Amino acid sequence: MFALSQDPDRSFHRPPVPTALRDLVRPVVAAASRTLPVADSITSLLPRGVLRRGSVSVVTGAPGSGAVSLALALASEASAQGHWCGVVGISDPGATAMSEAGMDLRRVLFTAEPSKRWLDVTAELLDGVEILIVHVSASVPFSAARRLSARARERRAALIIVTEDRQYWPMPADLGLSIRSSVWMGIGRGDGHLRARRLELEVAARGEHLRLVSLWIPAQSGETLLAHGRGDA
Amino acid sequence: MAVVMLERTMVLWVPELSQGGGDVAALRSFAALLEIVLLRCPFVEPLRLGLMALPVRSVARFFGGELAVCELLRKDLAPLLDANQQSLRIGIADGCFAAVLAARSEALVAVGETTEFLATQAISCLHRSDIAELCLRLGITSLGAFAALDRDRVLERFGLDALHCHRVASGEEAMLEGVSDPQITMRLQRLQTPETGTTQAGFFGGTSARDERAHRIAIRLQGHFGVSSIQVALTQSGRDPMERAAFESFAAEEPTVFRDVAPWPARLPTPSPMTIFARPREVSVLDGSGEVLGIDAVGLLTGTPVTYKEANAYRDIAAWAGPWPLMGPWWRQRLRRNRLQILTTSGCAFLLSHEGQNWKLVGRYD
Repeated sequence: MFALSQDPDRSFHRPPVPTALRDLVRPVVAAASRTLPVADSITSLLPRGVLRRGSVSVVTGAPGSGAVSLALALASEASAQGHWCGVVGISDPGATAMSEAGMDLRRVLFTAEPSKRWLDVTAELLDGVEILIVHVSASVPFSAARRLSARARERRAALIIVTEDRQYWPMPADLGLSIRSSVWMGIGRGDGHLRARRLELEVAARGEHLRLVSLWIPAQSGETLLAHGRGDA
Repeated sequence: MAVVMLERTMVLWVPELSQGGGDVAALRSFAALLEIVLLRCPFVEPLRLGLMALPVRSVARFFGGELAVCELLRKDLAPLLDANQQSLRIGIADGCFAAVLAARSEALVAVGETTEFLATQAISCLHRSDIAELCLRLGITSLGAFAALDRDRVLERFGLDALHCHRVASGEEAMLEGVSDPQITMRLQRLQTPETGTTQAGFFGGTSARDERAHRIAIRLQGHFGVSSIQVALTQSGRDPMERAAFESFAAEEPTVFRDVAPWPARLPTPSPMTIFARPREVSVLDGSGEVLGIDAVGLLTGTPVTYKEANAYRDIAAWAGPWPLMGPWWRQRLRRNRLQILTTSGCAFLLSHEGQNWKLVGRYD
């Protein structure tokens, strides 16, 4: 009591912990908590088969080619397991389709539209959610991209960029998925209905060779499936 | 002028409910009344708190006349109304708006006499203060006198809304805009949504740390950028993907998840469009010779779709499916539509809706 009352300010003038020491005493995290769960069917797309926290993925595809569905396929398993997701800049999202894709809509935050301050909103949202899907429709300044990547790494959230043009995101990504072609099945000339879509992807994972992969999003069963040959939906 | 036959409509009005503050207790009491009427007539539709409408023709046939239906509903509802010290007024007329007015004076307007009945009503019934004020100054005090005005002059002086009022006053349109409360169905549905069940509790029950963190950030962002900046999606039952989801501002309490149990005939097959345009875009669907296509009387396309045109840009259609009709109840014209899926030659798939005479691009399969 007396010691405190003699020098009340003492506790507020703690010397800073040296950086080297801070790194040493940083708690060790288990491997499982460094990754986010993904559906089994798409693990082969991902570097080392995991969606790492703090990683940046870029999904490239023209509007209507399935880029949003592909980004959601990356996030859906984590969402279903109770992780929070954020969706920025996707105008007019179809919530029914998101729910069909496996997202738990109770834990998805949408920001209305990308205003001038979308960067601030996005950076701050990274504090609260574990997966953030950002639709980018114009070139992002390098400084902004760097700031977002750093924030994602710091907050241990997975950042998924959806864009029409890979050039819009000026930084290298841990995972790049570009949609080469998308073909719908099941619709005829006046009969049937849209059932399944086959995407041909170019997968560029950091430290791995460029690969071509075909994926059914959605498959006829409604899930995402890796295509191993032709017509095996 | 073409004679328009409006649907025979019965309106039930509980004045105590619509004059009250509109709190949850009133909503519950209204929902209970609605449940009872539903047992007799499945087509009953809430218009606003305390006011419901039902197409009476089929019910009257079944129970032996309109008076018999009135008696029956009064008997059914009496115990509940007496318990809550409420009164019930029933009116029948051709067209919903006339029936609402009839319910005020508890009138059963005979078939074909609705125009005469409407003509005697005061101009203030339209709930348009600008029109009423000017008309009263001109000595036009009744709907009949208003309906007698030249329609083109009314349009010139007051604009489109007055034209709509004029049609209603002349008994050509069934429902006046602004009488029904568009939120009422949603509010009643929310009341009925089961409170228990689907919420996943955290490890120790209640919310988990990660829920709390997300809530905190969402509320902080709402503080910085406005309440509507952070939204959540709600799902509910419905036929079309646009009906089945709604966005609303984030609120800290957990939204209840609607469990889809009932079958919905005429629901579109999955997958649903990943993009639902908030403002549907007007398009026209054309056949090979550039003829605009529509839907014929039996619900088929009037030709083979080859291209569609959106704001002077043409795109070729490679495949299509549908049209799938959706026949809503008569008093909700908007629900009467045909849905069509198209696939363009570039591989984009779209959902189109045909309402009235127009095609609209409502969704894209992203």
